[in-house]
Amino acid sequence: MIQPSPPNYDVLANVLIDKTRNGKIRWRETALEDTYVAAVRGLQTYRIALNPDGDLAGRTDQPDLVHLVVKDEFGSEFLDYQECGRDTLLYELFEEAQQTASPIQERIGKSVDLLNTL
Amino acid sequence: MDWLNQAVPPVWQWIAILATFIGTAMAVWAALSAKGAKKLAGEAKAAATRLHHTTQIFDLANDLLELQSMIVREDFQAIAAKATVLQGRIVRFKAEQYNWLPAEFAEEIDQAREQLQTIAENSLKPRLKLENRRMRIQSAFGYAFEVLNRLHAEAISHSQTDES
Repeated sequence: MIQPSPPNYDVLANVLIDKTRNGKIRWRETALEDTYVAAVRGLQTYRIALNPDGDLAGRTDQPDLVHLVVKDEFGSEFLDYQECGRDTLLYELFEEAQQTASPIQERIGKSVDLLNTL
Repeated sequence: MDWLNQAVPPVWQWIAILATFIGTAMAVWAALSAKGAKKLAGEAKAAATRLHHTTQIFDLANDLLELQSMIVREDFQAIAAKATVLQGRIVRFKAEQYNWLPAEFAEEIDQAREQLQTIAENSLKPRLKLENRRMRIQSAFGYAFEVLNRLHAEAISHSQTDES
C-alpha cells in the first residue's frame, strides 16, 4: 500500500522566515505572552506562539514547542501545525517574529544610551 | 410635393410626418431619462450603503469603549465575552466586502480581530502575573481601538465626499 507523503510545512516556514527578514511581513505583539500575529493583504493571518499551553509559571511538558496557525480572510483556520525543539524551522521563525515585533536590541540600545548620560 | 401620397390630403400627411418626428424625439428623451434615473438610483443606493457602513463602524467603536471600561474594572469574564463578540462582529463586517475601504485597512482589520482574540484568551486562561496581563491586554486593546478609529474617520470622509 502506498503511503501518502506528509505535507511539507518547511516550504511555508522558509518563506515566512525570508519575508520576515526582508521586512515584508510585520509581526505584532499580542495580549498573550510569546505569541505574535501578522496579517497579509487581508487574505491571511499568521499566529505563532511558543509554549502555548504552559501554565502561569511557564511549566509545560514541551518547553520548546512552537505552534503556527494560518487563517483565511474570514478568520477560519486552515493550517495548524507545531514543532518541538530549538533546532526547528518554526523555532527560527518564532525568533524572527519576536525580533520584529519587539526588537530587543533597540531596547538594549535605549537603556545603554540612558545609562551613558549618567 | 410629388413624393406625397396623392390620395390623402397633404396637410394630414404633413401632420403625420411631424407626429412621427415628435414621437421619435420623445422616445429618445424617455430612454435617456430612464438611463439617468437608473444611474441616480444606483448612486443613492451606494450612498445609503456607505451611511450604513459608517453607522456599523460607529457601533463597533462604541462596543470597544465598553470593552475598555471592562478592562479598567478588570472584569476578566466580561472582557473575554465582549472581546469574543467584537471579534465576531469584525469578521462579519469584513465579510460584507466594503469595496470603498482602502486595501491596507483589510490587513489592519485582520490584525485587530486577532488582537481581540488574544485578549479573550488572556482573560480566560491567564499565563501571566496580573500586572503584565493588564499591560498586555491594554496594549492589544489600544491597537484594535486605533484601527477602528481610523476606519471610522475614513468612512465619514468617504460619505462626506459622496454627499458633496
